[in-house]
Amino acid sequence: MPHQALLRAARALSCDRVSAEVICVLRDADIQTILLKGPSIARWLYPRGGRGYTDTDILVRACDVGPAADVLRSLGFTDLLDGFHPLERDADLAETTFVRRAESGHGPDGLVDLHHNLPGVPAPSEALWQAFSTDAETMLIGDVEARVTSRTALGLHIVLHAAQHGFLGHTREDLSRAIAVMSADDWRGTAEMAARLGVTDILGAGLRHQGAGAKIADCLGLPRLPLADSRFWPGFAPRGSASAAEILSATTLRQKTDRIRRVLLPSPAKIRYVSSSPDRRGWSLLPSYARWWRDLARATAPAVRHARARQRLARDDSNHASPGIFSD
Amino acid sequence: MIIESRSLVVRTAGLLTAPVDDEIVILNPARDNYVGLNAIGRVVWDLIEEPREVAELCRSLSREFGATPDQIAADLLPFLAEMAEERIARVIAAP
Repeated sequence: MPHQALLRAARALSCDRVSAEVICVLRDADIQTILLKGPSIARWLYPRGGRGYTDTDILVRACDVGPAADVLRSLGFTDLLDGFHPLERDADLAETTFVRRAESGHGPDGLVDLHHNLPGVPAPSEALWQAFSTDAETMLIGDVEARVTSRTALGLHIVLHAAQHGFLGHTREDLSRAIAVMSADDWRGTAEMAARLGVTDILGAGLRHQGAGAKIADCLGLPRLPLADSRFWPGFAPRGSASAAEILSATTLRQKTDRIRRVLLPSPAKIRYVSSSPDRRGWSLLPSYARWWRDLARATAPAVRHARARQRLARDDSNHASPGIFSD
Repeated sequence: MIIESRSLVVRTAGLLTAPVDDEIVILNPARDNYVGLNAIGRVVWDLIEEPREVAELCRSLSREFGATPDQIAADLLPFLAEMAEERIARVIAAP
């Protein structure tokens, strides 16, 4: 068994273990869940293995996010962005990431993304819950019965996820396999769901990213995304372009200076997060701050150019707004 | 542990598994350990999804690999004992 394949499988199993634990405890707290992506994609599209995943994605109703977060904290998880300044958090984020370290003594390492929506979906969280829960299926994770998305919904999620990540890495392979196993009729249900959620443009563009998918998109009459230039897709957006866009779009001088100050002098929590050094405190963070400022100096010009271009496009094409999935 | 031809063998409940080509990786959360089975072990694993008599397993594997049931038993019994020791399978004594 190749070493890398073994490691990938072991990591996925470790995630499954945490998923089973979390789903079980959330169920005991009367919180409904839908387990997203990872194991569903792996079992459906990679029956011989090879699709790794490193976190657990769980969808709950928006009204259950608070109680579910409390449950996760009771299991030893903490908010990955704890200590971030409010301006450093994306207010519209569709998910909150919780992390648990085995050293805490509460259980194995775990990373849980608690979703109430998905990046790029403009529809309200409740609409997504309705769409994904209506035909939800069940899957055994160990001895825990987990609710997972139907293949109709999973197809849509695969496209959205690939678009969110610029069709890079395993998202491209996921999409390619989904297109190979789903017929045009299967995608029709997905297209109807996309229409309800306001993401028909992204579905069309995502399918058209691959030759076989383009035929399906044409067959279903899916629209073409007007922002055809790949530079405008988030996976290709330069680093920092979301922050630059926020600064440019701030309406008052006060808002602009607050945001600029936050970029120039991030909170220690953010520096710990971006430098992957959770235990550093005080002066030991100085090298990480230095790296931040060096990277900032390199990233600023392309990020501002990209954000300005995006603003121009939004103005020129107000009838076809951006897909709304740009991120840092 | 004595494993006889009429003993029943079945997978332990609550295990997590991931295929790797023809092989399989198993995580036993109760023991916090991982076990890898090669392609032949995977065939046995697939067979014991439901409780099976050892004799029946030998016959199935004999057909699968073209060896006599006795030859199969010589390899299978130690393997089953190892699986039981790792707590990924249970051996239930013959009634």
